[in-house]
Amino acid sequence: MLQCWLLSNGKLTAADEPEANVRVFVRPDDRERRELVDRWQIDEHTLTSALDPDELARLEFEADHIAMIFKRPRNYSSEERFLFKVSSCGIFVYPDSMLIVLPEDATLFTGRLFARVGSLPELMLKCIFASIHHFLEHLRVINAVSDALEEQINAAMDNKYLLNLFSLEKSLVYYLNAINSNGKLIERMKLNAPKLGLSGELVELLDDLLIENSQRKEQAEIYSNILAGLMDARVSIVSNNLNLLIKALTVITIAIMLPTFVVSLFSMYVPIPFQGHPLAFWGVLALSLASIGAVKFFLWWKRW
Amino acid sequence: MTEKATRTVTITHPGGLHARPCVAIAQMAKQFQSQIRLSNRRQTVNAADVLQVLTLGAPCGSQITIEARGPDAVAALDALCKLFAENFGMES
Repeated sequence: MLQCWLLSNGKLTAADEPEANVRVFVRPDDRERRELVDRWQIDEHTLTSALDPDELARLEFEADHIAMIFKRPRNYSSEERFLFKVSSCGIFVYPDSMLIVLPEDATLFTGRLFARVGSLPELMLKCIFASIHHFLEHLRVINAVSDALEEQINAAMDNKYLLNLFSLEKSLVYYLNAINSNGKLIERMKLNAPKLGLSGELVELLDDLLIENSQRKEQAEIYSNILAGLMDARVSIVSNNLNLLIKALTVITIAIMLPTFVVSLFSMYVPIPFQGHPLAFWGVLALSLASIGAVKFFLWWKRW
Repeated sequence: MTEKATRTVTITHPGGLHARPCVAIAQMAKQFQSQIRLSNRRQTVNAADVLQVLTLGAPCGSQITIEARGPDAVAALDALCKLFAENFGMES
């Protein structure tokens, strides 16, 4: 799917294909991939990398364009069971146009960040900035989900919530790796700022990106460490909850077993004491009830 | 006094009800005493529980019915409808 935009006079507006200078290819089909390779001279391997979620961020200088791949969080879907994944995004900057290749649907160029864009290199940096901000928001989501899972674990007896926490922990590893990779890309961009045609103002923006990204990295590391460090304690809580349940069930079993024993003892088909007594039934009943009282007293005495 | 109110909203955010809007909804729902439930065609969930809201999986254009029951039901619905209308205060 192709989306076309025109960057003109500091504004980015939707446009028709011939006049567009920013083209966004979302999940390009075979025909669009052919066009990217043949018309835009994009290396096939680089194009595949831009669509591969496992690819690391990188920057390459080609003959007529700059190819850049960076990592962005993948939109969460309810089928993913608390696993937050990352995706890749390819940006190809030509002297008078820019291509963006995305492996999945994403909302680009929305919000105040894109209200005023001076040039194509600025748009490129702002796309990375949006991705870093997206990571920040997803880290907040992970933190909120982690808090909610902890509340559930306090009363849980099955592994469902623990497995969800493991998914969150795994997500943070993906995020850390992606943020780290983006950091390396930004550092490389800073080293090659003149080659990228970045003005002094844009180099300052690049510095901001570097700081923002390192803050996200630290945040992800802290969340990951907290989650990993407290995981053992949470496993113990679930195990302890299960022990409490087993204890309660055992007490119930013993409390039922003793009166059953008393009643069955007096139900044997052999001559037994008091079998002809008019109050024999009530006597056996009283004895079985007393056995329940005895169990209760024993448990109270042992403080179980 | 216990009130009960129901309203239907349409998700206009291009990304649908993904992770960030779910957290925003749960945080908003927690601010009210009323029991708030969200439902789409498939399921009904507690709006204050982010874990449940995340399972709704409603794409852009889908309709969500919000039902609030409690002393501040109308205020809760007003606030939640505003959140939906403002695309969850999200820029992207």
